[in-house]
Amino acid sequence: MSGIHLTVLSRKCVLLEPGISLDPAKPEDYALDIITFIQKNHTQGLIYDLKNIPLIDHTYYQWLSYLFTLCKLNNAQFIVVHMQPSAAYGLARIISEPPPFKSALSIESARELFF
Amino acid sequence: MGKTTISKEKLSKEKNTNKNVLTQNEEVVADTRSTETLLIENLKVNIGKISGIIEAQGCAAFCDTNLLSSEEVEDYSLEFLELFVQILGSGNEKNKDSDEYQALIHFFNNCSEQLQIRGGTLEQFVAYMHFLQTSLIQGLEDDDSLSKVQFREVLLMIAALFNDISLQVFKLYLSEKEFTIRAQQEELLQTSTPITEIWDGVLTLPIIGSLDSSRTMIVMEKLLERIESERSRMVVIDVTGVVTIDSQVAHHLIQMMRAIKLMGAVPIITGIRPEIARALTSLNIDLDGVITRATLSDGLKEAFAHLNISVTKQAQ
Repeated sequence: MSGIHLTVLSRKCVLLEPGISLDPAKPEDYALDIITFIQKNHTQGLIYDLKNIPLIDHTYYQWLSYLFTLCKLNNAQFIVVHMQPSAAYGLARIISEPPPFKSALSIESARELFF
Repeated sequence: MGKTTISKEKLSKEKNTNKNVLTQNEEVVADTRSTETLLIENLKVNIGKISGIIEAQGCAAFCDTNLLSSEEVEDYSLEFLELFVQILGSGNEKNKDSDEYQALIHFFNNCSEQLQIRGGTLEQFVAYMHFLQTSLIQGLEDDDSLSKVQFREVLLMIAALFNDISLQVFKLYLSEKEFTIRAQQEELLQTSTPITEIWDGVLTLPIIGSLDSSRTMIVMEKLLERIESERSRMVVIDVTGVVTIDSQVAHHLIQMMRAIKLMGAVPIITGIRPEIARALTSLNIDLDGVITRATLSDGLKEAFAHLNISVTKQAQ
């Protein structure tokens, strides 16, 4: 899967790490692969790692919201982790409503929120 | 034109003799001499007297108040006269980019800085510049070789040069002052937003005074950095000390709450005063989803409850 890397953390939890080649403007390009992976692994929670994302703009926020909807349709929870201060600062300024997805400080915290 | 320098030995010698060094031949061509030349020659003749006046007045102004020692006044006096002769000799007294002009500005800036550091005021420095100017003019008064026209030209030149220098030094003084004020404001801002980790994973931030946009931004930036570095799960913001709030700041506060949540921490606001609560309500600020508590103590209890920590009084 080019642009994203999926790792099964536990029986029902999957970690998604975005790569450099990820294009958040084309969410549909990744949808099929992600849905297949979630369904195949009976995933109940998808953790999205933002540690390498210094800034979240509208496009990237749409991409995260898209993933949230995708997870919800597959009865899985979606949580972002390791959001950088600069990204949180920027995103808080551009959104007018609270985001649909949850945030956690670390993968461990996210897993606590799942189960 | 070669640069003229004044040595201490020469000055001392001239202070003692103070005799006219102009020769008969030089007096004959006096009418054709430039203003700069006239002034240089006058300085050569009266150097001892002028530097004596400058030193005496400098000592009277600064030595009593310990701003400058008598040696420093003497050094400043010599350096000033040397630089002044250099600029006249180069004919660059109107060229602000020239080395001689810049050297003179640098001299006055140093002098001004030193006085400021030692507690001197701008008024004292301006007075120093004024009596430097007066000393030069007094030196001219006794020069009979100058015609009225020449005397007027020399006066105008001195006045123009000193005005220029005063302006330059004043500009620099103001920019230094502004820089100091900005630095102090920055420091005040840093110290007025103390973020403390009161417990493992619990940050507290008491905000005191009025909140404006720039301060809110700085607080937000520092807070988010601390959440990341300390891995804090709870953030208690106490606004008991906030007196006023406007719509813009209220929105910044909401953005701050949102950013804290995005980082994965839980924000709690405590100590919202009745005036602030009324302002937030009338501004239609939605605090839905934000945990609020009356006091900092209640906020901490809430934070501990979130972390499954209970603080109990030890049984005696």
